[in-house]
Amino acid sequence: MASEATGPLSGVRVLEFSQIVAGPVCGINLADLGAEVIKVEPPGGEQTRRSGAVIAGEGKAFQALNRGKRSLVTDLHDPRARALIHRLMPGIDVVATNYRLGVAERMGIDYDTLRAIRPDVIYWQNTGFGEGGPEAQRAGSDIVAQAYSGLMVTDAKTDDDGAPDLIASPIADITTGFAAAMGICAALFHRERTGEGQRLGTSLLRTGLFIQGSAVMREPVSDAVLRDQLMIEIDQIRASGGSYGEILEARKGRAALRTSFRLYYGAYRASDGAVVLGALTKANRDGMRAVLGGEDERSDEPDYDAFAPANQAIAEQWKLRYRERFLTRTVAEWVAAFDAVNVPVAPVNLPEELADDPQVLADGMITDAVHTVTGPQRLVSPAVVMSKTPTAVRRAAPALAEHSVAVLREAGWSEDELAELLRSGVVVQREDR
Amino acid sequence: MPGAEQGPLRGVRVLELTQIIAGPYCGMNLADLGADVVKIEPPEGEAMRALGGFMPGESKGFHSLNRGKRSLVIDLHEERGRAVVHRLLPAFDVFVINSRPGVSARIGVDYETLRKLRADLIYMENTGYGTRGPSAERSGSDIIAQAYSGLMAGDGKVDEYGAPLLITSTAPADYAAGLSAAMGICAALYHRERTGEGQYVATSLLGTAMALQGAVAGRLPVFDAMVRDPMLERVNAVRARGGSYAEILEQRGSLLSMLGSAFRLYYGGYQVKDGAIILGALTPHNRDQIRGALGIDDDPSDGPEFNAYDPANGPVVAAVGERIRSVMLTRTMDEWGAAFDAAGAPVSKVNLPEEMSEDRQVQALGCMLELEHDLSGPEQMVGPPLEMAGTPVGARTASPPLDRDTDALLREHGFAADEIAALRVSGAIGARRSG
Repeated sequence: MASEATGPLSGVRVLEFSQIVAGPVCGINLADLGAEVIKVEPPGGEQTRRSGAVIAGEGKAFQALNRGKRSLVTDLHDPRARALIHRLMPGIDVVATNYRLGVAERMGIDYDTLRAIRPDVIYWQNTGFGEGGPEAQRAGSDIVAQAYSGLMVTDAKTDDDGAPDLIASPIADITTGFAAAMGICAALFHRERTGEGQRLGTSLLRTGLFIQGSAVMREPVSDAVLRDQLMIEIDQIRASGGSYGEILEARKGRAALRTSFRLYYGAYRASDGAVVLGALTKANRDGMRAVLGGEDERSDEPDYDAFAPANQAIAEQWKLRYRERFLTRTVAEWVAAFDAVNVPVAPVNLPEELADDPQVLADGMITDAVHTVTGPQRLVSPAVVMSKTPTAVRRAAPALAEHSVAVLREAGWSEDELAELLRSGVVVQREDR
Repeated sequence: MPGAEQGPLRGVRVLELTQIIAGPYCGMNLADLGADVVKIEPPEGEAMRALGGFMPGESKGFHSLNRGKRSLVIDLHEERGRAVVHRLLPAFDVFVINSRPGVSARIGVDYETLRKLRADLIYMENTGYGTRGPSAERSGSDIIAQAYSGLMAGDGKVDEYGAPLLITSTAPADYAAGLSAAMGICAALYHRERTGEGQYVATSLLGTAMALQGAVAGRLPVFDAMVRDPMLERVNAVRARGGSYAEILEQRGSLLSMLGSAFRLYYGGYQVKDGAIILGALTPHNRDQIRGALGIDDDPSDGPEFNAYDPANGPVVAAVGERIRSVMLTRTMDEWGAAFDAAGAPVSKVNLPEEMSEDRQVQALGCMLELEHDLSGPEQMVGPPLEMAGTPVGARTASPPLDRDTDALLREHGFAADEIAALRVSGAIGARRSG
């Protein structure tokens, strides 16, 4: 249900100049928290509108990434459009941008220009590789950040050709959107206490590193045992012109040190699908051992040395034994058996069926909405639930140019001025409003 | 490196009772933003201290998730321990917990109990499956959320035995939940500043994992009728005959193939002469740039009238893919990097996380914080995911050794020296390193 603006950011007004995923995710978080988010789009619409679209300009990905916003269409290459944005600025608290370096300046929406108009504006800019350094000018996208930051090799997956395979969910983009929304909320808190606005920066690279902290971080005591040897080995492989697969194999060899941990934190095929175990504690693992007949598996005993080659070989044997055992029962049977001893287990669901899952529905993780063009839809609810200032999906994604006139009228443009803007094409408004 | 003493949350006091990743990561973000974060630990230390520990009680994972905090050791199974927390609580603005539903009430730190001690408290709770519904009481962890939410099947990779693989061995659901929790707390602080009201704030690993794949987990009937519904019919037929996970995945197809073939050919990895390279084209313009660098002047699959969903067009796409693969193998990573950079196309080599601390770009941006740990000495860790010009974010201290700050914190909050000593003797506070 689209709801009244009661979130913690009610009354906060955001202008979003963004595209693809990272910027739009920041915007939907702010909208979910109650802010009024105005997405400024070029006359042809933001390019993601066309991605996988079965109705022109209204693809599913765009709708998921832009719910709760209003659409204002104007061509920023036209100086009159820039004047329009500048006239809107006094009523705007937050500006969100994710363009390549230099683009915001060319369009007259850079921080220095906008804060001259609204001194306490909170201005966020996202880039691929940051705003300084040798790579700052390079184009970035989620897959590029996955590769550059090391995220892609954390599970060492390759396609049938041996080439690196990406993580399908654009996690560098999405977590950047969350980090930005967090920073903007903190900046609003600061502004409320001091009256000061400020500029915030994020990059896909920085977030890509931040979500794999311990793999990237350097701790000489630990690294001397686990990291440094590996890097010597990999440098040798590189020097001899080794393939990507060989590099991954070397890195996997180190990960094998965790074979015993992965016995109870990993996935198995059942007779009809697959099941995942997620033990993080000895109590969990003991429960799983009881279900699997693994009471003799001794990796939790105090004197157990996970690094000893003999123990690794034994852990591999347990893995094979457990694999066999899992094939003897169905997913439902295994989930029931592990639930009975109260340990973390889950079936491997398809994302496309989650909107009908009883748990998802019971906890309100899906919200119904109606799109102006495509009709009813069901969206993933806000990631945060709040008791006093409920977060909510305010509305479905806007049709292109759905709110241009409404936004400007509310901001004080006269009917004559609006007519002139529409006639000259500086502003576009969807017909059947 | 700026410390967080100038951060936007300076003066905000946070008490966290958290473990593993999601809760600690939330607390670390708050500390990076300038809050004073006190971590309550059980006498044997938080569980993450022992996961992959390189010294007793000190692991790289724990260090990477708990910098900038202070350690307060209290046994909450002891009545006297709970009394200590209740006496401290009025001085704190925010409480963060990520235990299973029900645990907080048993140990006297549920929202209803704590708000009586501080009416405008902001209370954040993260759970595996949410706080209501048939699975609310079940235990969750990142891998469980990956499996249950569809992230894993959506990624669609399997090991050599056909079992599902994690989408990444970092913990994406945990990390995203920690970020959204910190976002919610900042928004709640803003609201409190405007109205004086505190509140209960909740996140879950499942809800956040779904937010990581909103476009596939949501429903859009006009689109779903073409792509999702027929796919699920095929999947359900496989399930009805007891088919394997691999067969289910095969019927689902991959996300990228749903996006159309041209997109997939220029948004993915290729082997080159001496390793691999990633292409990251998002626009037709990017694809032109890439084809220019590859010397491929026509791609019949990249036109507006090409129907990628028509199976008859499969061989056309495969032929283009084959051409790209063979051209890629003729040059090295550095040669291709230079060629694509000259064309302005988004590409990258595939780095290892272990070498990022030495990367020139990472260093130029100041992404790494250099901190000194009390026990293990100097370390470098990944700094906050954002920069703030007016209120610099960062961290001044590494993670605390277990129990380091217990006495100092209690003194700071008005406990007398003999009270502290008596609590220690009784076991209500302080570390126990037995076994």
